[in-house]
Amino acid sequence: MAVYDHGYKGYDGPLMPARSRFLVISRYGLREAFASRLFLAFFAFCFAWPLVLLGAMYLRYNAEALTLINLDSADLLEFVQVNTWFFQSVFLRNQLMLGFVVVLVTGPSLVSADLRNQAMPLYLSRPLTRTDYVLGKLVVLGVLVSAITWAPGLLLFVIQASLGGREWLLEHWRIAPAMVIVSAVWILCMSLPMLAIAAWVKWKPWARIVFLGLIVSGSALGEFYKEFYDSWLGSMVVAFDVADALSASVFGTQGTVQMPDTAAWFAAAALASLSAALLYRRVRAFEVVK
Amino acid sequence: MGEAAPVIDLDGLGVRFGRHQVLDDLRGAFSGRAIGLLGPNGAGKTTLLNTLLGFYRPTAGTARLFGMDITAQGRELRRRVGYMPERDAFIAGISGVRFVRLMAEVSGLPPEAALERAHEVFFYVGLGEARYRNVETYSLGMKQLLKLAQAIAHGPSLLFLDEPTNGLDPPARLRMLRLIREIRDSGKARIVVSSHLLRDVEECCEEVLVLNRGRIATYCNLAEERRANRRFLELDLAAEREGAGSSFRAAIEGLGCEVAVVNRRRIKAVLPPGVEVRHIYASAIEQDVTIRRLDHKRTSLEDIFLQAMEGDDGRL
Repeated sequence: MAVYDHGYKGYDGPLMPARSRFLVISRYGLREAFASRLFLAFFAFCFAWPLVLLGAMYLRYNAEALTLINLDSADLLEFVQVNTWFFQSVFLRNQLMLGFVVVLVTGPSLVSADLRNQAMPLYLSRPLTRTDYVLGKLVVLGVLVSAITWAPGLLLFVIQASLGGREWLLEHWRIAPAMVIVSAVWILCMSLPMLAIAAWVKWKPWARIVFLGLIVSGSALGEFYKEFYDSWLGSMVVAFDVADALSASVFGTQGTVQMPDTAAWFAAAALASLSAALLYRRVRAFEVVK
Repeated sequence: MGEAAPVIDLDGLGVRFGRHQVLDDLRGAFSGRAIGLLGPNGAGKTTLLNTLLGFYRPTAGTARLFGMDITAQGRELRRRVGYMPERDAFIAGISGVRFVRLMAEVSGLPPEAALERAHEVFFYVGLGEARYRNVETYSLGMKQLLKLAQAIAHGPSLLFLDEPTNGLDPPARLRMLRLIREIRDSGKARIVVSSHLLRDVEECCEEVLVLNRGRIATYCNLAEERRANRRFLELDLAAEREGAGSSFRAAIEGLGCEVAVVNRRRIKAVLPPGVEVRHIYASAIEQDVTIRRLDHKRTSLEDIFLQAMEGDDGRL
């Protein structure tokens, strides 16, 4: 069916594998996200802190550079301790917060527009399942948040391992998988609720407000419960408490939140499952009114 | 895909939403190049389309498209299907060509082929000049054509069109019907058109399935009906002499026609195979009868539809 040949013709060319079809949705989602210059600028800003830390790590092992900028190596060695605390609290905690902002900015536009403009029948009338659709959208957020959390984290880890030597690596090997696990849990626990809310609210600004509102109200309720009943149970609904407890559990450090590891894992699993169920309820070709 | 298998094979198909039985025991096999689904609002046309597309799960029976079960082989079937929904459906914030390309890629086309096809279908449906415009800026008629473009971008072998002429002005409607006929005549895709507009179905379809209250009210093969109608004549006569009418009637009966007398000046006749209208004229000349009017029977789809819609008590 060439442009000059105005007749209908079928297509009998090659087809892409069915299993990776959901990646088409991810590719288009990523392209749409980066179509906004404001988002692109913010995303670039997200790499500022890893670059600062990279610089600090470099200086720590480079006496010549320290002399050039008139800095005492002892001060720097004291100030920049590259250990579990460095990766967990100095690097990852900040990056996860930025990841949260990325999810908040990008998440709603991924599904709300499709549902508002009734695009679901168009997707689902093709060889694509609801799981493929959700997976395709999750991959967008997964790639964006991964790119500013565990991916640069692993890069910093590899650089530090090469500078610090075998001894440092043997002592701190747990940091690498811990960063990946904590980031992955964070991605799921932020992305699924954001997508679910966007699917129900269908309007981007409102979806963001509702998501923030839920986090803030959950935190307020949890803090009130903790104060009033002097119990860790309140932390179950405080997203950042759960994240801290999970992070401490995975990194093997002492957490700031008095909450059992199992409770934190349960809260994260419950949040992700509930959000997935709500999202699935909405991602349909048509609503059936019984 | 079995070539000999019917396009749609309904096998006791039923769909129930809660207590509401929307489709009930639908049976039949349909093989036409273009199949029309007719029925009043709420008859179950869209539900049938949605069930065939796998959006709803049958609560009873099953259906097959090209011999493939809609439940067991849904994913494979949807690769071969194009769907134009009734309501506005698009992806906001992107250009028309990008939207159609995305839809083609989701159907499995490689990115380069999808882009090429997207451009081609835009020109095919007549939106070539508007292909870089944001889809939200399209008029209603353009959105209808856009929906058709995304439905055919991946070259489906079965096309579901739900109310394709909805909201179109007369020229746009004619354009849409012409496109549907062209696709039908290309032989590359079978078409199922759901509409409540009898005229549209009559102009595009060869087979018609009339639904009423979730059941099949009637099935009509329009192509055969048209052929049969060509054999059914209604004649207005003016006899030049006494008894000429009777002798003319006897003469055409002699040709093998079945004849019924409506009144002294009007008769109805069914032509047997091998007898053409010119033989009737020849008999009229022989019997000194003037044929003032000769009409073929014109059972319109409207007649068929109205007959099918008649309730048990004989009222509509």
